[in-house]
Amino acid sequence: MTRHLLLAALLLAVAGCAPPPTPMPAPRFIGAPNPEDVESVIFLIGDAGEAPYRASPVIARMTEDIERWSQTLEGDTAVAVLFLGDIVYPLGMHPPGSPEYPADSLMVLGQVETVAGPAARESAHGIFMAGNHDWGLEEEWEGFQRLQDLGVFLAAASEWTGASVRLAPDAGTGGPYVLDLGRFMRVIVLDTAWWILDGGQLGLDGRDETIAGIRDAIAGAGDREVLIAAHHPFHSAGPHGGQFSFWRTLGVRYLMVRSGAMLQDLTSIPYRELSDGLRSVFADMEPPLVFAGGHEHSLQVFDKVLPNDPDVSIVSGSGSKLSSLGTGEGILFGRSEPGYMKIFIEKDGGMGLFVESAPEQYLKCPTAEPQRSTCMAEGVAAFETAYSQRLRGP
Amino acid sequence: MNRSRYRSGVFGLLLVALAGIPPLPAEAQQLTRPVVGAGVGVAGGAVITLSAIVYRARFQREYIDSVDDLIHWQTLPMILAPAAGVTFGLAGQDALMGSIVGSTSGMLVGAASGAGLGLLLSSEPEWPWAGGVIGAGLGMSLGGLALGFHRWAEDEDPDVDFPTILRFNITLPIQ
Repeated sequence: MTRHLLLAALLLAVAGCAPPPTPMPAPRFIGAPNPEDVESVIFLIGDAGEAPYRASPVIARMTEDIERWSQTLEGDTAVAVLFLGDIVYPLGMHPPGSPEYPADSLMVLGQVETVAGPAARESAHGIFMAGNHDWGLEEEWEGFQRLQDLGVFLAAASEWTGASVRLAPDAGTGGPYVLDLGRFMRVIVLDTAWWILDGGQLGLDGRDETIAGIRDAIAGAGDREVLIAAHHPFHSAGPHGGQFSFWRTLGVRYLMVRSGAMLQDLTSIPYRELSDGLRSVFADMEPPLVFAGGHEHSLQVFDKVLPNDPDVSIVSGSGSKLSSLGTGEGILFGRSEPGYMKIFIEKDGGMGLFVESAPEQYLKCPTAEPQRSTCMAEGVAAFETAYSQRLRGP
Repeated sequence: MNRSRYRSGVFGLLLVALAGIPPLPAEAQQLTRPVVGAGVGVAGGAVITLSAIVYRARFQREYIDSVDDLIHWQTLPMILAPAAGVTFGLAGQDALMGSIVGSTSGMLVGAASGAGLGLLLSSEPEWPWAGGVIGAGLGMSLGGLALGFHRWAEDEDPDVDFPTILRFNITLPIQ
């Protein structure tokens, strides 16, 4: 009995010695930009593949926002919308004729319609990048097929709606796909799911070519700032980043994430190879201004942690799902709420980041009327700027 | 008090309460031992399976993405470990206690050795954890089987006789 008492005392002592978590800093705010000073806007939303068609306040609010800025800004590349992967849950776009195809199509169409408003059709571009779920969680041929079907559907939806949308990089390749916005920003889009799922086995592209492509894209940016967008984030204070309570799943998930036993966690060998590969490029060239990812179902902003890290790393993955959030080194903001982010690029070269979110209950609305209309009206109105910061001065 | 510490406290108090329960009569123990063995085996099987999953991820780059991936040798311990626990429970008190003590101490020694190796051989933060988990599974398997069989073979009055096929002698050529 004495031994048992000692054991219990030891367990209590160990639990009591756990270091306290890093506190989340208070959110920062900067003033909203004057529309006359804005040259272009980048919208960032991830993991929207479970947003019910026309019953998602996040999608509806972002659609309004995109349309408003498309009306305000001049030029045919004034607005870019980056869909940061996991476009279709749970297993990507099923082939035409399959029982899942109609629901999958509706899921994608809901996202395409964000850039299909009268003004958005003229000046907004939607870039859809693949997430691990868009690969159907499958390596090689089957995953590639899912992505090809997504690319074909996006091309068709572009014709029906008049929206400028595309899958980037091309199915089965790691990228990069490069998009220059105005005079000050270069966007480099990667398919990190291709990297992590070892899509190189398809033989369409190789990791060395992708790394060389990123190097060239950064070198060719000149005076432009660089934003790298992909599904997998650079830093995370969510479950994939190891911020997971030991007691949930009785320690199993906790040990697996720390051991690097889960492919989609930041600690897995392929994920480490990805971040090491990127860091080697950033060490030789210059780290990008922003690295944007989804994957975690929350909104997070990180400062540079290591010298070769991007200046700011963001996670915008709460387009249709929410997941838990802890804290981590360098975290500036974190919230598990439905939302999206936007980056304003001003005519004098200044840049600002804005995080828009709404309370958790407005993640999804009922699809039946009249509840849908009421919930959607309330949900769209509930959005507010939860955080904002200057990324670059004029 | 945060939630984690509260749970630790409840767990600790539960252990204290369990320690205070008086032992069962001999007949009841004979019936409950296989059940205890099965329960301990399920927990041990989970540790060994976790260890196998981590081994495959770190050394073979094979990961679990869906339930289908669990149909593999790595989940066999979930069946074999409870079966071993029931066997030791049926064999007798000595065999069961031997397997529990052996597997627990093997797990602790294995975890410490594996974590130490991971720390020595790699600078990546995952390796000490991976080494610890793999070592825990390996140590638990070896320790539980070795001490369980040893105590069963040594038991002068087991409930089930030790199988002769498993009896062997090792002669060391020491002069």
